[in-house]
Amino acid sequence: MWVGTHPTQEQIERAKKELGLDQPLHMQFLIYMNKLLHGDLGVSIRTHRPVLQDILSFIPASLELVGTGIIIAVVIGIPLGVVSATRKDSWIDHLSRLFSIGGVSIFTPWLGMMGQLLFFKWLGVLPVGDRVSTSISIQYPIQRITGFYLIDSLITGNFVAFQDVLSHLMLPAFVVAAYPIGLVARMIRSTMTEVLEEDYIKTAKAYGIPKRTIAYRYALKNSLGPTITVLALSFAYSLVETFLIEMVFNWPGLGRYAAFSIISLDYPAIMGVAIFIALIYIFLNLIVDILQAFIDPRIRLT
Amino acid sequence: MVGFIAMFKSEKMKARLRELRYSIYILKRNKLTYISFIFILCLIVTAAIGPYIVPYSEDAYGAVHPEKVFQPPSLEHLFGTDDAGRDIFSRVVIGARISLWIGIVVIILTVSIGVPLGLVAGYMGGVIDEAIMRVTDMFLSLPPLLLALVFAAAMGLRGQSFNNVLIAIAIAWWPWYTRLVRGQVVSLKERPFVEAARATGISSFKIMFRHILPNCLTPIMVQASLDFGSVVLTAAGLSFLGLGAQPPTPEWGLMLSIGRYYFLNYWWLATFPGLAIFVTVLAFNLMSDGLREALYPKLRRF
Repeated sequence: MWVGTHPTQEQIERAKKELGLDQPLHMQFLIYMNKLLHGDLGVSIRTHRPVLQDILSFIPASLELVGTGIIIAVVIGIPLGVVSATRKDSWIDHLSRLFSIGGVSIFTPWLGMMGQLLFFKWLGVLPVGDRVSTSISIQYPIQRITGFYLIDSLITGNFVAFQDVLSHLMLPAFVVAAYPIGLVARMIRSTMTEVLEEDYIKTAKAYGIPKRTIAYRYALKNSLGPTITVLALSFAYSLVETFLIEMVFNWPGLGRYAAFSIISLDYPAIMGVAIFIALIYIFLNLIVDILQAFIDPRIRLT
Repeated sequence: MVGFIAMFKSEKMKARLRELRYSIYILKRNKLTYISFIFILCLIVTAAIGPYIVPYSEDAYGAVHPEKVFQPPSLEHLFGTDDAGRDIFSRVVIGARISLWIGIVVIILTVSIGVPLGLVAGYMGGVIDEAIMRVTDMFLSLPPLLLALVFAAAMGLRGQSFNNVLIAIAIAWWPWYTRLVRGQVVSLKERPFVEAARATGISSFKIMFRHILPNCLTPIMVQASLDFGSVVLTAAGLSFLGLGAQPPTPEWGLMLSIGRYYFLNYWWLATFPGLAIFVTVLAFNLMSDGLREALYPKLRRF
């Protein structure tokens, strides 16, 4: 693949040198590890560009997608969880239970396709894929500052593009959110059920503090700990799930890059993406630990 | 096996039977669980006799009917026909066989790798424990879908047998069982009955598999039923990316992946295979939810 489908003997020899395949296996490994420690992930066999450069150019699109999805999950999931904890066995509790089990049972690319059918084909209100329409990107080009189109178009005052980007983002982001919404809601429900039995909540009730205030000011704060862990985990999970979602929405992000790399057996790129996601995962765990200590002063970082 | 039979005869077994009957009663009480349980039974029957009852069983494999491509759902073709004129209903029904097979094989593989390792790590402790658990941590630091993808890609891509995918998923999944079982064993091995067994001088091997393992079976079963759905989804995801089953296998993920190119004009191509995945996984998740409630009495008060 590096040299095309019909290489000459000479081309093969040169390619072997370029790729370091003339070295024995253990040397290849040592060279790879050495480069890795210096932040060099090697060169993609498919795109002939450094893997790190590829990843960095694709990651903002994915982070924008997954980040929006997680924000949607928080905005919908937390109130849903609070309501189902405070009004147990009401219809909204059952709905949230159905939602969460449905969310983890659904095949996300399929959900995306059904969304495309409904909102693009039948209702015609949302675009089918891509991050921005071609006409808009020609008429109102987005300056690349952070790589996040939403932020970029907003700070340059490019509102036409902002609207367009937002409408492109809606459907995939909701598809990403389908899985974490239910998890967040269930997590909040189960921890809050326990918290609501605590003595200080009874005290607050005895003082006559309104139920709403108790739920959101007192109980919710103390239920957030496990939810943050779940959120961080589902962030990493969603980052992999976008491998599939980005294929459906033709989203030029890390997931689509990884998927194409896997199909064409581009090992440096596959390894690079895997290492990159593992790093994000570890980094997220660190942040979670710090946040936990911040929310609950009883936990001390030792 | 002798031990199990002896257990059946003992007085204790009567108590256990009573408990089991109570669990079944609980299972029946939750209507949703009961329905999903019956649905799964139907699914198993369908998978077993599927090829003999569907109208166009030859369509599941290579058959091509150029004269009836893209026919919408009708009485003759309940779910319509696909890009090769094959009856989608027949393919979806026969696909149940493949998905159930994947789930069962992967769960058996993961349990048979993960559980013994967890037993050894928990019971032996010390260096062995450390070694096993650090390897486990390594695997757990990546989302399972990504791991499965990388392993499947590493084992080669095209022309390979479908079994590689099953092995790839199992490799990605076993650490969860190791961790689960180890946790159980660590608390169980301090119990008097283990101490008594050790005092009689039987081998560690026997203690682990005869005395400790039966006491870990409940959480393993719950976890396995919980994972079944995720395994089916992961396998579908791999096929969707072109890594798993190859055409013309009637695998649901693969049917979606091909349907992706046509579904905006012919909605039935993607809708029905995805619906089949959703309903199957949902049924397993609902059942495991109910199973957990039935088997863990502590949760019953909710």
